[in-house]
Amino acid sequence: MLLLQPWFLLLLPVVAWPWIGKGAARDRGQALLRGVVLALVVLSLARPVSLVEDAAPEVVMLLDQSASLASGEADRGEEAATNLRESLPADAAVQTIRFGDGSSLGGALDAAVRALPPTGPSAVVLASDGAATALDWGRALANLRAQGIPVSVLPLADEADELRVVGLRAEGLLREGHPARLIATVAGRHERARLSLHREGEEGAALAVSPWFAVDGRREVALAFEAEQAGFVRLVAMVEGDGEGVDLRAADNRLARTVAVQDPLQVLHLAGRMQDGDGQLAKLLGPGFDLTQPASLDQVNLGTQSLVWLDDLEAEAVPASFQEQLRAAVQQQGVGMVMSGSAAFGPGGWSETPIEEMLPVSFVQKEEKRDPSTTLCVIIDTSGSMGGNRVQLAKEVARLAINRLLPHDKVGIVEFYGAKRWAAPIQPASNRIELERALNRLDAGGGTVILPAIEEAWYGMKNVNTRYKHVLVLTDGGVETGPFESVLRRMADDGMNVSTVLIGPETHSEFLVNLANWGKGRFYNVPNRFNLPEVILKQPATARLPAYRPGPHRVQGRGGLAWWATTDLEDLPPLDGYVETEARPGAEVMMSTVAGAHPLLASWRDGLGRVTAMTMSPVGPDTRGWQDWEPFGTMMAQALTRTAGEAEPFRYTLTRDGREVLLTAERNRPHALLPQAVVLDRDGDLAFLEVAADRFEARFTVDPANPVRVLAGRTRLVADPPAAPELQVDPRAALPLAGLAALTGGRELDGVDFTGLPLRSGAGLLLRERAPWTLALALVLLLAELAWRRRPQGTGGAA
Amino acid sequence: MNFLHLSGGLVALGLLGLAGVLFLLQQLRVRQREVEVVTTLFWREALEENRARVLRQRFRHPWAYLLLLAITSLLWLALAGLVQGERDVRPRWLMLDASAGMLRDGRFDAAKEQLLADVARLDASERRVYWMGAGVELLLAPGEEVPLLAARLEGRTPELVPPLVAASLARWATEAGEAAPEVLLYGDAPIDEATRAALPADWSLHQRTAAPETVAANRGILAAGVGEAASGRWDRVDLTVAVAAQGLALNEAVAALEVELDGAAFELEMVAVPGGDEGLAMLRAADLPAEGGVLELRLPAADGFAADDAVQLHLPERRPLRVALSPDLDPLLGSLLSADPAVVLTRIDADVQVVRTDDAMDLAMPRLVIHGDDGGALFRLQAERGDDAQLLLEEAYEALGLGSIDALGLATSLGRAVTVDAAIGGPAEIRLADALLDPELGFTGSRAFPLLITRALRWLRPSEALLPYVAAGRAVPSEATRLLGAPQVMGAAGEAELPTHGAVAVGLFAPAASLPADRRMTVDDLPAGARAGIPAWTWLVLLALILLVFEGLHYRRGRMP
Repeated sequence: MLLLQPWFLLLLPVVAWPWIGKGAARDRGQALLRGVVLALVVLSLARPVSLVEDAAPEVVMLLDQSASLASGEADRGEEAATNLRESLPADAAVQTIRFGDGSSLGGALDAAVRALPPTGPSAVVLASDGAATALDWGRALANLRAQGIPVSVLPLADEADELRVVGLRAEGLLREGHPARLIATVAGRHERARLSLHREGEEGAALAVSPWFAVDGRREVALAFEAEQAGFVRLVAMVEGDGEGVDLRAADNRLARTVAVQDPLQVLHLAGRMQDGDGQLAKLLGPGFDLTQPASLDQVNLGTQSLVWLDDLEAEAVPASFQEQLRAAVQQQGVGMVMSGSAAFGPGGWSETPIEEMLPVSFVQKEEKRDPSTTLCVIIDTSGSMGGNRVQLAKEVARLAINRLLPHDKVGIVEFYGAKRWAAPIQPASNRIELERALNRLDAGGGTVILPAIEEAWYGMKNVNTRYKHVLVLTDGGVETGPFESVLRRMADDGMNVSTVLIGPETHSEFLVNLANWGKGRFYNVPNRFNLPEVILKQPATARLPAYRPGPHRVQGRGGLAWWATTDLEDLPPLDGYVETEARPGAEVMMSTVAGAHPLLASWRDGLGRVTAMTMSPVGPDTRGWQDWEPFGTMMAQALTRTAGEAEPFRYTLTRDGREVLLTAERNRPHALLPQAVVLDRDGDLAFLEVAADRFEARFTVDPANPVRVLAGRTRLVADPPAAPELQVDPRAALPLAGLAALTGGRELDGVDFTGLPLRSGAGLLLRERAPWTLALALVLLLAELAWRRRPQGTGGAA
Repeated sequence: MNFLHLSGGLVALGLLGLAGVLFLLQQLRVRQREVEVVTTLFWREALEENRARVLRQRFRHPWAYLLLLAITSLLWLALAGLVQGERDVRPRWLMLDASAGMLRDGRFDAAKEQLLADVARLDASERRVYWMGAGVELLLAPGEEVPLLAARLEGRTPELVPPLVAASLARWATEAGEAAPEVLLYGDAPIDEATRAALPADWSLHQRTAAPETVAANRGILAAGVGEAASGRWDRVDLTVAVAAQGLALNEAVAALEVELDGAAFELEMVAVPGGDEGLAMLRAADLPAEGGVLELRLPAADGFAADDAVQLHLPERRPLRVALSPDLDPLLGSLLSADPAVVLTRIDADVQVVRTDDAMDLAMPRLVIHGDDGGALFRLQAERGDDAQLLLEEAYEALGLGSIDALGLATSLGRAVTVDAAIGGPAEIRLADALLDPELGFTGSRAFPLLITRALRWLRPSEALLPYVAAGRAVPSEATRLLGAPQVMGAAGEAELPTHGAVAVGLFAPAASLPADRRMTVDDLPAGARAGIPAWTWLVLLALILLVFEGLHYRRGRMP
């Protein structure tokens, strides 16, 4: 027993009053009764209470009053509430909570939990169609389950047949200038319906219109359109019906949502030979690609690029260090790389570079075993200074050089000894005997006059048609003056090289070195017969044939929709030229020539990134015939898009529950960067915490009535307020009422019979007032006291 | 005017009854009297006045009757529980923060004491007391008295959850009824400015308890979770742990971190990674075995807050997919599956079977069927997922990598359209026409083929979605773990069961509790307005007591019958 107003016990002394004072306790019985009455009254003033177990059930009836209910269903709910009250014991408490306009199912369940005591037999009865304006019952469910409160359900019918738009979402990321799909969801029953997509406020002009379709319950319809500008756009999906069907309310035929449109794809375009290549490509590809050509490769941050495009570019234009960076960016950061153009695959010089290894095609320039034809003109100094051993040495060197020549080469011998003379006119090298005789005939005598001999050789070789022309001057280095430099340079311009051989013990002759330099030849010295040089007259011994194949060539496409989307592969025009390559094992070849099946468009993954090779120039003579082919731009855009890597180092997701927003950033490749994001129209960066490996979270609150717009890295994200218009609730998002009953231990009701309504087990606590009982007793005793003191006493009579 | 215990009619009847009873008692001839008559002339008159053996006498002493009627009526009305009629009292919500942070520094006891005192002082008619723990509970309904609150709070302690007061307030603000409440806060759950701004203007917030002036030093684990291994190994996961220290050395806290796997000490090489801050260290460990073990991270519990000193994580269990391969199938399939390190070919306890038509070993088991070409769709899918075959097809298109298949090439080679059918119902099944496996077609040599086969097996028997972490009071961060279509919200830290993942460890991960901000909160006065008063019926009893004494006094003096 507890007292709520114990201070009233201070009045207890009044209980003794009947026994004290003048005239007290004449009648002990009366005094006792009065004392007890006074005591009970004072006790009542102190408000005695006691805690008792309470077995009376408490039930909260949740009545859905939303506009989505079918006609008469709200009244059915009200009747059920009346039936519930009547079926429960008299001491049961029933609270009715009506919800619907602006309040959600989750909110209603939450309110029911808050209305019930923490213990004791209690239950929730939910009369609803289950249509949910927001998927927000998770917390209320957890609370109901934790407190063991069963939820019984009375399913009400909804306006299922009304034609309405119940959802509009983007499929994947929308990007400026790229084809995109919005998925609109239509509910109801209609034999012919059509959806259209509009910009909010411009509903006269449709961005996209779907074909006519039938709806039987729920249907998702894709609307293709192209976002014109990056940013946040309010789009409206509108449905119209034609023919048989229910469409009573015009208001629910329209649904507006905010979508985020990303910036165009960033492409680092490193272009080579093509003049105005950027301009032509930009026109070809459309606005979905932002082609940038850096002034200097030193300042390029490859990690921020989606795609690097080496377009008709020769290897020497790209420093080796940048090539290494590019390889690392593709393989480790997922950057995409495209190489295209006949200049790149032809004589581009990419062989044996880091880039070549990354390509899905190998260069197949055929090597030709080639010994280029050469004309050798040997000029031998037979002046007096060459007497003795020296002229023999010169002859040996000449023999060696001549012996290296093949039959298709040509040889001539000029001797000079103050004058010049053709010892052997230019003739095929196969005339070995004649040449040998000419050499043998030579003997030393006379002066050293070189220039006329060189000029003679020049004139002699001028009309000879061989790949190489070489003049070999064999002398002991007597110095003379003359216009050597101009003569030799002109010879070099005519494709004739002059090498010099110093015969004799001296090791150096500045004069002969100069001759060799001017003549673009080499200088040798021959001190004795044991040091005869191997005079190099021609190189290389093999050569690569040009791999460029001028057209026209018929081409064929292959590969899945992922590469080609809507392009009709049966209709590819012929190509005017390409570079022959060979697909490497494992490469996907999306386009090839019909003849020879040489790859034209091939791709493969390289590390985390993708590399695509186009063995023709996208703009230029190779594709001249394609410029008027309408799908060419789309095809190119698709190839670039497919190759492009994820420039964003994190994959961001924005979810909201009313005012609470969660921004998740998942690292999509190994790196040490940290995510960054701002809420638009609000100051300051969001604070992320890495909550799991490579998963970062930022939590914040927003105005629940407005969309939240976030710029995370370079990704735009938007989340509309979660509550859908009451009449445009997606049937798929309904709260499964039977599941709710099963999960919480409730049951399905018919609205009439509530017997056996599942209640939470256990007794509750109740504070019971005892004052009514003490007051009742006091009242009875007071009346008894009155009767006592008025009771007849003895017999009376007149004296 | 209302009555708590009796109906109005019963009260009126009772009053009438009392009046009648008192009237009868008033007429009762109370006792014999000696009457002296001076002359016998008055004898008859005196005899008539004091007739012997007569109980009733005529009604006399009307004032005495009225006094007694007043006393009994007052007692009767009090007994009936007379209360004042509806008063215009603003609702008052008293919210007791019972989150983990209240375990610190005796905050909960102080808040509870203040709450009980305030409840006693406030009018009970519109006063609600809420327990703000893992969920919201109504501790005291309007009209209920303090002892009930004390009894309901008896033995209860804060729960291991982050504070939910601000979020609850914001949610209720959108659902509140007509009368704007006065909200009294007990505890130091932070109410951020955004929440305050979001509340309707006529709501008022009153902070009734202050945060302690000094915050005990603490070190704790603020976050811990797993993710896919950066090494790319399918049977490994990486771990990230956030360790924070306030008033203690962070380095010592990091060094003191102990790790156990399934109860045994576990050597884990933790390296610091970017993302830390002053007082916060981010640590990462690579390639933990994804074998379903329970990993426990523990800091020495010598600080001011023990709840954040230990965290458990259930590591995912990733075992190879057991595939039963029918022996009469193309050996290429066997070679392909053998090359997948996450697949084990077996004949017993298989997860998925790969069979030729009508060769199914277990009709209930998901299966990949190579069937004779009947001229129908080359690819057929079937699963008990949702109720829309079109959606199933769209989902499978991505999941199976069908977009990578050179459909035109296949169609050209086969001379027929390449189509995919999907159906709802039955055990999960993918049927491929055996024409696709013809080596001359080239499909088996394409990059798309191994992708299709390995993905098909995963589609038929999806692996458990990776749960990065499970935190108290928050939604489970996995789309796969939804409850009746909505994100599943966890309760207090500890063990829990998820329908999709079985037993999971729920971590506290409450920075607000581990690192309370140094907030100087001003304690507001108890709002003016309706205070708790003495009930109306008590005043009636008091008046009745006074009248009883008055009546007794007169009775003693013989002025009352």
